[in-house]
Formats: sequence, structure tokens, C-alpha cells
Amino acid sequence: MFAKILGSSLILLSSSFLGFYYSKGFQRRIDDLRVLKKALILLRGEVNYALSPMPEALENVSERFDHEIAHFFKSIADELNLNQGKTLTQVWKKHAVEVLEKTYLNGLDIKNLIMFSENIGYLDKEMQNNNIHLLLEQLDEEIKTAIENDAKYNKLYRSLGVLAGIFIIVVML
Amino acid sequence: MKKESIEKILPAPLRDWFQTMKKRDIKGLQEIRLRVGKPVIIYMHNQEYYVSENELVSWGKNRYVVTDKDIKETMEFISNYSLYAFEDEVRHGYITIEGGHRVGLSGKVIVENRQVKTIKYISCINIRISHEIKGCSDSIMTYLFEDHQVLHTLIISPPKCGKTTLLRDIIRQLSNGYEDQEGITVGVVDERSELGGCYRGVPQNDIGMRTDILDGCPKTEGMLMLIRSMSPAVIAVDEIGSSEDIDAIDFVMNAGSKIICTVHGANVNEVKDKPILGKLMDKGVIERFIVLENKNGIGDMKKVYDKQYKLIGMVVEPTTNKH
Repeated sequence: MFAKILGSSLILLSSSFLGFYYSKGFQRRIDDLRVLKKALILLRGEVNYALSPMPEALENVSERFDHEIAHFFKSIADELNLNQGKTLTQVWKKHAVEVLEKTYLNGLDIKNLIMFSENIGYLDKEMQNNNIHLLLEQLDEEIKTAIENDAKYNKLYRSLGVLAGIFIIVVML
Repeated sequence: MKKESIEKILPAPLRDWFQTMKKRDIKGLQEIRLRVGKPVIIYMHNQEYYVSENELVSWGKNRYVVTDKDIKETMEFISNYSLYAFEDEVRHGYITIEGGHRVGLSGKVIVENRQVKTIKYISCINIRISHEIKGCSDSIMTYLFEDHQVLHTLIISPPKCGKTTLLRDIIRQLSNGYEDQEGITVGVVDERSELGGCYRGVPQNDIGMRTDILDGCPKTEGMLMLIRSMSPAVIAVDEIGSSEDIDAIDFVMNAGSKIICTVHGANVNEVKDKPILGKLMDKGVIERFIVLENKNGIGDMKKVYDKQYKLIGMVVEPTTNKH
């Protein structure tokens, strides 16, 4: 009997945990998107007002906060400074795939980021701004959708976790 | 000249060739020209070369043709991935890079309110390699003084004879001091960033320890600015030509500073016949004329004339000193 209770509670615990974990995923992606947005706004400032060259601009932005995205910017700046003859887009792509796997951003976000990199550095200020502006708008859109989804599915995942646990216990007993 | 400063800006397909360049050839390198869809052309020792299978050839079928991608990459490297930071330079059609090399650009020009706004589709790039040749003015320095006073000097030379190189070395020697001459304050207006080869305002070439430089500044305003702000004993400018330039030179002379400048021309008479420059010559204020001649090489013959256009000196450089 004791073993049964222990087993059932373990099942319930783990399934509830899973439910909560998934429901948190939305919130974490929203947080990451917001950090990315902040980083891009800082980058825009560097480009617009300080006219810093891209490697310097990326490095300056990366020093302002502590997050995987800051590491992402820093690693791009470091590689550009090596002057190995790679284009910004190549370097950006490589690190986007590597570093952003460690964040909660999804495939679509990464794709948007890579698209964005195809037009940076090789334009005048005005076009540079339009480009950053476009990505910021996309991010806003994504954040909005993510918040809606969070509200929609958050409770669902949690209750699904708990109920699935109870269901398994009932079936097994 | 540092090899890295050039290598850094070349597109990947041209880097292999460049790495195998010998020191002697690097010294003779003058221009690298990239044009979309055309073979890359290298000017070296006054000869044209092409790149074929990572070798320099003067003729061949398999010449490397520049692609659109190469141009784009080169532009990224030149501007350190930040073309937006060079808007003003692009508007003027050239960017000065680290090492003082000048990169000329051409392509589709965007005009707004009758002003050139930017060059949008860059299709031709000309990398002009800057060479410092320290000591190339040694042989003529003595002619520039009289009773320990610097003389107003005009350097006359056809294109590509090394007048900028010569002027740069004269500036350095005047500024640091030459033999028994004490160093003096030299003001340089470097409209096209060729003399100092400034990168972020700091000269990359050695132009002496008593030299103040206005980088990228229009000559006319620059000369007046220097007179007002830096009290130079000598003002040096490259390639004068407009009537405003002549007025500014007048102003410099009246302010008690000496002027050393260069001008395009084949000989003294030709310059005298030019309407604007002729005015300056007729005043009889220029005390020394140095005429460079291109005899089978760059600037290996220098003739020095005095105020009355009398030949007072001739220097022939051995051809080993080619640049």
C-alpha cells in the first residue's frame, strides 16, 4: 500500500511539474524576446548617434546586460575583429544558430534575426534604421502573439499536467 | 607599408594571391582595381597585371573576374562592417582606411535636392596604395631654404610621379628639423586624406612631430583655419587649382606663413599658361619650383628652379629607388 501511494504521488508530481514547465516556456520566450528588443534598441542608438563601427557597437551593447543574447553579440564582435575575411552575415548566422539554441527563442525568431543580418552594415544610416525598425516591429508582433498564447495555454498546460497524472494513477490502480 | 592593412580589406578569393606577394612587389604596388564582371587589375611598378590561379600574370586567359559578391565583401571590410559610419566619405567618393590607403568608389549615385546623397550600388573600387618613402626629399631639401628661412615652394608634376609622396616627406623633414635647420610648426590641410593618411584623425604616415593636420577639410577654409588657430610657420597643401585656393594662398603669405604646395603640370611654362595658376605665377611670389619628371619610373628626375625660373639644381635618382 505504501509503495502504491509513493508511486502515485511520484507520478502526480512529475506530470504536474511537466505541465508547469511547459506553461513557463511561453513566459521565458517573452522575456528573451524583450531582451532582444532592448538589445536592438541599444544597437540602433550606437549606429545612429555614436556611429560606432559594427564590431564596436555590438561589443558596447553586449556590455550593458547579462544574458545569452549579450554573449551572442559579443561572440560576433570577437570574430569580426579577427579579420578572417568572413562577411558579417556569415558570422552572424553561425553564432545565431549556436548561441540562440541556449535561449528560449524559437526557429522563427532565429530566422528573422538571420534575415535581418543580411542587410546590416552595408547601407547608409537611413536604411540601417529601417532595417532595425523592421525587426523591432516583427519582435513586437511576436511578443504580442506570445502573450496572447500564454494567456490561452498557460492554464491549459498546468491543468493538463495535473489531470494527466491523476488519469495515469486511476488507470494503474 | 603594412601588408596586413591591405590584406584585411581584400575579398577572400584575392587573399591567397596577396599572401604570396614578395616584399619587393609590395613596395611597387600602386593600385588594385576591382570592377564587377571585369578582371581584377593590379598596377605594380607602373605595369598592369592580372590574377590567374593565385599568380600575377601580365597576360593570360584564366584571369580572375571580380564578382558582385567580391565588391560587397570588400566594402564590408573597408568600412569595418559599418558603411553607415562612412556616409560623408561615400558621398565624396572615397574612404581612407587604416594605413592611409585611399579607396575610390563609383557606381549608381543617388541624388537628393541636386546634392549627391550616396553611392548606392557600388560597382567599381580602386584601392590606391599609399607609400611612405622616407628620405625621398633628402636631395632637394637644401634648395628649400635661404638664410635658414623656408621659401615659398611649388611642386609641379604630372599624375603618378610621386608629388604627394615628396610633399609628405618634405613636411616630415621641416617638422622634425633637417640637418642644421630646427624643426618648425607645419600646418597641413589634407583635403583628400592622402598626406597624413589619417584614420580617425590620427595620421598613419609620419608627417613629423610639429605638424598639425586638418583631415578631410576643404583646402580654402582649412588654410584660413590653420592661420587663425595653429600659428603655423609653413602651410602645406596638395593639388591646388581653384581661384579660391589662390586667394587663400595670398592670405597665408600675408599672414607671414610660408606655403608649400603641389600642382598638376608637365613643366613651369605649362603651369604659367593656366588661367588661374598663371595669376599666382605672375605675382612672382613663389621662390622655388620643383618639377618632377617621369623618365622610365616614378619621379626619378627632379629639377629645381628659382624665382626667375632659372634652373638651379637637378637631381636624378637611381632607378633602384622606384616606388
